[in-house]
Amino acid sequence: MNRGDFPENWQDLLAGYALNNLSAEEVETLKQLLAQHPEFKAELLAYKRALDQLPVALPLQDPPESLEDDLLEAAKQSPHVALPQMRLRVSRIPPLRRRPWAIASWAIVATALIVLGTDNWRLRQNLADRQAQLRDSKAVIEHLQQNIENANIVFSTLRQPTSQVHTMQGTNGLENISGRLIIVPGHSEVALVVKNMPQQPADKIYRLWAVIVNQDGPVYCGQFKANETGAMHWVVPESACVANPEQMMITIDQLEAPPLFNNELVMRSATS
Amino acid sequence: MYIAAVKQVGLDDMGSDSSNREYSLAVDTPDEVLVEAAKAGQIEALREIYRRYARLVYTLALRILGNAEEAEDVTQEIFLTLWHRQHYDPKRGSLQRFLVVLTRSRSIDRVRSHNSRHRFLQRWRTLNRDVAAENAPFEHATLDEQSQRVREALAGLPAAERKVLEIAYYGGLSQSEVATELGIPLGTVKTRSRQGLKKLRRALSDFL
Repeated sequence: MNRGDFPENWQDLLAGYALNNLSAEEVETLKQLLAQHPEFKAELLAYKRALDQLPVALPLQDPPESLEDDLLEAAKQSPHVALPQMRLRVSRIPPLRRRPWAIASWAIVATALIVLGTDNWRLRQNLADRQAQLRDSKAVIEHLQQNIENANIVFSTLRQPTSQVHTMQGTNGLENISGRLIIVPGHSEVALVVKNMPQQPADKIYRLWAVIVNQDGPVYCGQFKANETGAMHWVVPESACVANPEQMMITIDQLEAPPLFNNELVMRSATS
Repeated sequence: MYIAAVKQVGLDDMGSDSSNREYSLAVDTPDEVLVEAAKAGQIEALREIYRRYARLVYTLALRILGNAEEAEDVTQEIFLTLWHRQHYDPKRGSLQRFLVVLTRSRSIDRVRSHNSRHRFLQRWRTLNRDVAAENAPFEHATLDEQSQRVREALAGLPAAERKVLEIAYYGGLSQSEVATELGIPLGTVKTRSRQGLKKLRRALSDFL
């Protein structure tokens, strides 16, 4: 199967599968698709993961503080055996939200604070400015921490005694791009460090491919977006990607295109 | 992150029996190490896992069940399941996703066991009103980048697609029940939910 005879609705099939709303006919089509392209399972998983991101967007709510103690008490009483039939509850003072008199008291205090606050408008303005600065600083710190984490993962990968390093070189007019792809056999995560790799437009994505001995075509090994640090890492969908590949290649492709090799090479390693 | 875990516990430990091992735990200990430590019976590891994910688990359970006490029960049940039955395999995905999938499944099972579709739909309508009212300024300024990204992605969806997607995810209703509930054809339910998920996947493409 090549791009031309790939089902047009392949993304609908994956989304429908994740949502459990495929018709019997669609299930058959998807089965055939997956049989011919087992690497497609990675994309299927990405749809499921996208769906399971929904709760992350909910405004988070704190469980009662006592629940942590209840849980640990229950765990201590039944370590690594059968599940208890009922939730263990430890006697405790009712939480604040269940005591109307306490809520009323806090409401009075809060009202008093608001009244006092009206006399301190300038102070609050200053505070708001400082908070805005603090938020900006925190965003910068988080960004830097993310960069450090990326770099640490790459360095950790490099330190593995069994790590393989593939020297990657730009091609097709992009010879100024260079980098190293680090693979640890048996580990599903790969790391890529590149120089001069352009950040692609929103509708494009870079894809990694492995050339494996006795395989018909390149094996899909995941996709990534270039970032300003030039250090990326991701989990590959196929164990073949990290099982001593003969050559690694990077292509650029449409974000919505099926993960089929398209020959639009951006980088490749020397053959081993 | 797995590599960081190797570093934390020492290379020699990774292939051996975890039951007699002592793990050094800290706030930045990777999830995989915490799970291994919990498997070895370290209660502090369970505490740390709980502190990382209790809010997410409780919030999801509360959203589906609409009842604080039941959400507390499910939350405890989820973490005890992790403690007792070590089904989680880091190679198959993140601990966060494992807990989300398990929480959703257990919560929907509870709703179904109540065997009252009418009651469920009533609760769903109530929850939808609550969510609409929560579009106020953030109370939780510490929500991480992940939450922000998913919120932005969801905000980019047409309201009709987002609604069908949320009902499909949180509701535990069949497609035809969703169609009946919303008064739209079954085909439209499928189209909207798939379109919504495709857009969500695209918006999170460098994140999944």
